[in-house]
Amino acid sequence: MLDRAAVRTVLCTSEHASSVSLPPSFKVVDEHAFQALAPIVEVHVGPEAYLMFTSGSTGVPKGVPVGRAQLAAYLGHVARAFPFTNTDRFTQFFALSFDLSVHDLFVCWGAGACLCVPPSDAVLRAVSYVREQRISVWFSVPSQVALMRRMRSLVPGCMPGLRLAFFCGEALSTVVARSWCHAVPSAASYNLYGPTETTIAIAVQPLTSAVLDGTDEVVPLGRVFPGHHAQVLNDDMPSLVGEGELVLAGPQVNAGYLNDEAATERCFHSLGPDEVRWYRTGDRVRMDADGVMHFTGRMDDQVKLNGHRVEPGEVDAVLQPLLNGGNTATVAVELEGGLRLVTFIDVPADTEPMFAALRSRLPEHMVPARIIQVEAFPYGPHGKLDRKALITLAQNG
Amino acid sequence: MDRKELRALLCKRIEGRSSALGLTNAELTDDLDLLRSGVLDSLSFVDLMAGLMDATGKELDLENALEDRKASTIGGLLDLFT
Repeated sequence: MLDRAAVRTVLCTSEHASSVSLPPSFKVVDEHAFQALAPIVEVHVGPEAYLMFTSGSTGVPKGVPVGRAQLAAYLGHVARAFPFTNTDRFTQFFALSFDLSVHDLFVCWGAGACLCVPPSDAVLRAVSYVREQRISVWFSVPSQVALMRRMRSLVPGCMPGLRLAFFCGEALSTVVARSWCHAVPSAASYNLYGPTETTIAIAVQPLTSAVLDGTDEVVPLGRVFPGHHAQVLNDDMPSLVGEGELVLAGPQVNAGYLNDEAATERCFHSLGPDEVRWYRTGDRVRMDADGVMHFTGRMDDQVKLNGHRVEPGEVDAVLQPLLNGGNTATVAVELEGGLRLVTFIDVPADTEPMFAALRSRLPEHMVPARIIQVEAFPYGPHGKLDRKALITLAQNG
Repeated sequence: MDRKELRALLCKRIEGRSSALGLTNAELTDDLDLLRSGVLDSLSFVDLMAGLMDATGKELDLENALEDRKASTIGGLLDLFT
């Protein structure tokens, strides 16, 4: 990722500086050298605001350069659409490597509000943390709320100071949304939707009683922000209603992937007589007559774990070379109270070096909970790997 | 359920993750912090606590219990549920 991003200087603490091995061409600056940094590093101001890497199915993460214009469009819309004030106190639950942290930082500071940086254990004592810090604006993945439900800490009136709440990063189940709204009636709550490629979030669904009482298993993705366009592709034909792959256009849609023409051509298309640039999300949605998008699944194998996009193929790409010609297949399974990765292999192998390789190459959320050896993989009638059978196998231990 | 039985149950429940980290049963000592050692992430830890509540019939306010930093060690968990 450092190579692809053409990184020359790495800023980190001295503790981390000693734990990473980088080629000599990289300049590593720790906190001791930081004060002397300003005259040394030349900053080139380009059109990009930040660069985020997302999981790639071929084993190579994809870099998404997000433009300053795209970010300004997002921040401008959010500032107009929601009543933030300079007396608000915002959560910062998202790690800086997650694009939703950009919302935490800049929406908060744009409103002149106070950003509350939680200690690492705050995720397990979120209700106490919110009360102690007098938080008024909440932003998290839905999994955080599911965790609070499981801890039995989400009781009515538990966080009376909250007045705005946002969820993003993965599907929000209606059951979880109901629990939240029941426990935090003081907050106006919203489900946000948006891939990294479209800058943080591009659609919103207020958690109204109609939504909470509806029959959808997951809360709708809502409508796209003003100035944006959403269509569904069915057999490559765009439509404003019906079910298909969601495609998005508008001022928040970015130009493509960093140094990856193939992926850019696959996912970004110019459609229609005006050659409008559309991003193919890979998300399957049903668009209703009111323009509300309902999530129905993925077009591919991508999964979301605690809001992180994961291509199971990226896990397999790390393990494949260790299997002496054997095969590997990774699936996401409901396990231990949440969605987990489980990897299957079809040859005998010591799993310890496999886990070591995974830990050294991938972020923690992409390391499978288990590696299970099977004699042979199940295949469907058309010779395609039967992932559903693997999921059942994992769930049955 | 006595402390020994509870320890056996706890070790069984974390077996997948601890063996993936190369930890033997002898290394699952009372002072091993399941969160800080990386044996469990927060979701798995809460799942473990919920499972121990179900197994022992003991209802706890988990947020309060976790105010004690020792609660995420094996010994701390055994203290909570015995």
